[in-house]
Amino acid sequence: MKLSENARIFCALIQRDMKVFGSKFKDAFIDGMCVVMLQVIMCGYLLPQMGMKPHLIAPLYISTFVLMLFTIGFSQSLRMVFDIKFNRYIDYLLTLPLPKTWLFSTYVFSFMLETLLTTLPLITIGILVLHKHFPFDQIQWFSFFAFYVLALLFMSVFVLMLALSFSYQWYMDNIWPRILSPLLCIGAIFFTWHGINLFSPRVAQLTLLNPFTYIAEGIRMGLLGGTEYLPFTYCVPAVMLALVVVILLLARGIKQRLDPV
Amino acid sequence: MTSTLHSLSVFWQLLRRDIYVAFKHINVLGINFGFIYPFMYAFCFLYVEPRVLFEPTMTLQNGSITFIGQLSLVALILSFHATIPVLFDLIGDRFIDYQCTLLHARIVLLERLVFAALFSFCFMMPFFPVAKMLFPDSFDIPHVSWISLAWILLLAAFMTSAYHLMATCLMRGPHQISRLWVRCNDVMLTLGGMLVPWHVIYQTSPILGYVALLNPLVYVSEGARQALLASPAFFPLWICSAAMIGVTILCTAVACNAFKKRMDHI
Repeated sequence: MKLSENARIFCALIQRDMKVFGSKFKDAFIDGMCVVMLQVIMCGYLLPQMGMKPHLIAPLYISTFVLMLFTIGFSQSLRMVFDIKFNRYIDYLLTLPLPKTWLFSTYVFSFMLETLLTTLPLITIGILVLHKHFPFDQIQWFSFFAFYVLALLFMSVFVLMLALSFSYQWYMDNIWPRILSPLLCIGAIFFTWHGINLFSPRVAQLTLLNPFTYIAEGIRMGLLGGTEYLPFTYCVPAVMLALVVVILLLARGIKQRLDPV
Repeated sequence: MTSTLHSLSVFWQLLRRDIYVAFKHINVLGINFGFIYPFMYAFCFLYVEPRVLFEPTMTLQNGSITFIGQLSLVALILSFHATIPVLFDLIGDRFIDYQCTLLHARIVLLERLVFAALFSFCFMMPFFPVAKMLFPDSFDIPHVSWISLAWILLLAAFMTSAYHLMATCLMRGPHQISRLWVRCNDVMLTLGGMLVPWHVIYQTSPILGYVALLNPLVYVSEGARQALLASPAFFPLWICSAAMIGVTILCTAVACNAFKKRMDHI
């Protein structure tokens, strides 16, 4: 009985979030389209004109997945930060007869659903535009999709953790220079891990500390196959381990910032 | 005459106040813009990316070209940081109403522009020297003219501050910030020579090349490349300077107009 009541409130909250998302879908789609088209132009045409090796077009374009996760994740996180600082809609949610784990799961689930609905069609369009560079017979559909869901789960918990772990001022001043930009720049996102390993194994080892290296490489492995990328046997456990760490940090952040008794 | 002197004195006091408030965050900003950004972008675009993406013969040249283009992004981040409090003030406390009782609204806006430009300029200054110190072998700039570079940085600071001030006056609220970045700033950065110089855009598509000439960030990246690399492949400094001054005047005029409409409650 208790479970069904929790599930009912959970579904109602998700339904509400989806209704809000539905009203904003057009804007989210246009924003996503901008990111995808810019990436297509940059990776498919401009960088090769500058002398980039052609076989890197597809793996580099796949970094769009990670870029979109960052873009959407940051705006989601910022919404939470503004809510905690100004509106405090979260206070109302905390009074609902719903365990806190379920409540924060609604945030995570909504984010995953919104991001999945926004990113997949857009990135598919980009792949179709650059179809010459993608070996369609090598795509491992099930593995890719399962790994992408895991990556979305990680990202949604991660952005929620960021929003709840820092003060408003610290977040606004430092979140990009000290957390998000290093994760983007010091990882195998804008380049492949094997490419880094060829010229500097030490730098390659350093990038293995970044969970987004595994996310980017796992997506590359799912969509491109071959032996050029880190295998799922490395990527999946690494992302799961990072997820556990982020969940622990999120629990601490919730206690510190919201103190739900 | 007395009125002009009084206005100048109030202008200076408001500027001093803004500098004093910014100075309170000097340690955070100093670490972020004086070390973290130069190190991170130099590591990514100067050291790793060219070695992975390009053939060994092109690594050194392309690394420097790509890295210098990151100046556009840093200029936008800094000017955004300095001008966005105006938006929060306009929808919140409206301290600016008090300032407008002391000075003409347009001069108040001009003071914000001067502050934002000086703020951006000061924190942009260490970007290239720090990168050169950290990665001396990867950052190949034997023909650098530091004076020309300082001039381009100053103009870039004024232009991006005027642009963001204009955006601040035109935006209805903070909910439009992400749209500003995704639909305007990111597009301008990507097609504005952040990663590839203008002549590569032109070679890829002459139409795209001509359209890119309307993008003010092209002149920031091309001007910085010319000052640091001194190559005929990039725009001459006088073209970049003229374009940046023109865009600054245009954006300031639009910002003043939008600001006046927003403040005029009659």
